[in-house]
Amino acid sequence: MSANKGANMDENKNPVGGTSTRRTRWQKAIQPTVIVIAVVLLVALNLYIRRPDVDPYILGVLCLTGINMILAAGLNLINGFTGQFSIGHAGFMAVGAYTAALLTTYRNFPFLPATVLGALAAGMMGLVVGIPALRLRGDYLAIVTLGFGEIIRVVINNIPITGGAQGLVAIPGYTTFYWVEGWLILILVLISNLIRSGVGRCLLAIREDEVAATALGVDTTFYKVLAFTIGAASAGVAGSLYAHQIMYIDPSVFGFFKSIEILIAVVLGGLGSLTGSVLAAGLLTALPELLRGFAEYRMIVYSALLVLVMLIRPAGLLGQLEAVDILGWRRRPRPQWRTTGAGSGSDAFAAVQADLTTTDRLRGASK
Amino acid sequence: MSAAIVPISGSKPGAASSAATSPLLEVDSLTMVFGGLVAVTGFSLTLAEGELVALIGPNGAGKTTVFNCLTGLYTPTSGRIRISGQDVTGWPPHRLAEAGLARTFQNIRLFRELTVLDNVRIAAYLRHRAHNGTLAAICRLPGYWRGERAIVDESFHYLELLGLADAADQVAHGLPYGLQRRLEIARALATRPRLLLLDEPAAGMNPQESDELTQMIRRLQEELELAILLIEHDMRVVMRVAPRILVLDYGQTIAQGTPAEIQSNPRVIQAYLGQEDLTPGLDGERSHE
Repeated sequence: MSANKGANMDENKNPVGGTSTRRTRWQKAIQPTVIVIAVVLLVALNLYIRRPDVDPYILGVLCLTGINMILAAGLNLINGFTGQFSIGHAGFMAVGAYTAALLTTYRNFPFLPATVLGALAAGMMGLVVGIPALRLRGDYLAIVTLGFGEIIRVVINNIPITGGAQGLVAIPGYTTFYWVEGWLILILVLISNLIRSGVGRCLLAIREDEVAATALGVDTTFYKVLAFTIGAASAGVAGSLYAHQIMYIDPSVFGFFKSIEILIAVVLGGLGSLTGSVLAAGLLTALPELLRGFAEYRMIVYSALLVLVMLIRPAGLLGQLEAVDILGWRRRPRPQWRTTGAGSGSDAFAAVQADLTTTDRLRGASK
Repeated sequence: MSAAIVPISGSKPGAASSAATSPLLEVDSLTMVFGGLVAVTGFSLTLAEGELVALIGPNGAGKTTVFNCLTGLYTPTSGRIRISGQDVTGWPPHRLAEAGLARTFQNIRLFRELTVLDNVRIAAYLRHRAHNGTLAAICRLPGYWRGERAIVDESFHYLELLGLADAADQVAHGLPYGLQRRLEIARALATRPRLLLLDEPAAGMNPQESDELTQMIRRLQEELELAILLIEHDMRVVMRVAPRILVLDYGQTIAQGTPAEIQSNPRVIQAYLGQEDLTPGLDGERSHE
């Protein structure tokens, strides 16, 4: 039927609802420029990395930037999109880092499976922490997640296999720029797919109004735990990449300050903007390095810049906007029946009646 | 039209036959106590498939508490709630929505920062999620886009019905008040309910808007054969749409009957202090809105 043919609901021929994307003249003008700049930057970056005389310091900063972008994107899924204020993200990073590092160092695991297992371990931890913690809201949830983050750190500090406070040494240096780049792109694609789907809209619904969401059939506990688990798993990936880059980890790396650092990136970029998180994490990692010229005043300048940005843009750099919104690429879905005429809206009542009666209205009765 | 139809979990022969015999909604001596406050006591109601009942009463009478119990936001202190014969007392709200209960809220609760379309799409997702789970979404599996299109198609049916299709891309909190109320109804319908609970849908509307609403409620009930439970202070609306009215006061059901019976009931007149009668248009309840 009409659901299978005429799939191009985004075509511009829609007489009623207009085009799928409406762009201002300004947006049309900058679109090609932005694409060109992005492609050139990415290609240049990857070419630069291949040079034999590449500066290892810059390479290190680039990797760290990518890792922080992954962390911020994962935390934004929880804090920004689902609206659950969590501040224990470094704990999940630690779980991923230790799991993967122990596997590669002592069990000679290759990098990829070790990282995947690290992500799974962190995701499991997210599940275990999330189920009780996500019953709470707002400040209470923040404190509980903070507590869990610290518990993870303290446990690692006190069990022998992790090397305790002395840390884990001689981790193989597997992390390359390409690994970071690959994981970053993969995680960004997966998270952005998630948030632009039915599941993602359920997460947004929970952020907007939990009572209304649950009254409309959204199982809020399930979706909250889901977001929490995915966010934690991505932090696990970041942890593994970090451990195999620095080649040494100890529990103090994953303390409260690391969690706050990630949180700052999310808030600065905009709660509920994936693009914003990536942008802010990039800025926040690169900025302290770029400010080395200020010597001991470096952190003062850094802090002042943070305060300034938050004063000028309290909702973060991008607020809730994504790059697609700014560039005018956001799709505006239109029904197929408007273009194909099938089941046309001439009698909305008939259409709704058909919808209502196509469902047996006895769902849930058999559970 | 919408192609993806959620397979039915409850279509056992047994369930179908019990639906034929037992009424859609049965509430049996529902009581809700908050600390020392008895908000509702001994509330009973039977609602047949496609029937419309209005729930009226002075402010604080416990009407919204009844709604919150029915939709699972509160767990009643005692009493039972059955849908088509099945005991659903204490079910969480999302399962009741699955079972066919949908509601609007007295103090509009839209997803404010989201678009009108997204508000409805979230509700419509309930009947489509079997094909569009998390994995399908993350990996964009083949059936995903078909599912998304079906959701959009269906969502626009409800938007069209409530006259909101042209506002689909607007942010919900930017809508005029009357349209926000309509969006709440569209959103509730998108869950494909069997029973619609409307909590003061006409609140804050001007006479013309509430006339339109009256028409709409009628058509929803008559043409879509929806059962509707309506809380409303606007007597013009209540007297016109409800063949049966229940009056609550201080948590107790003080009267039940046709509009004519209710208007002449001395206890009802007494409950609406100082109000001589309940003829349409004379509405002493509006002043505190």
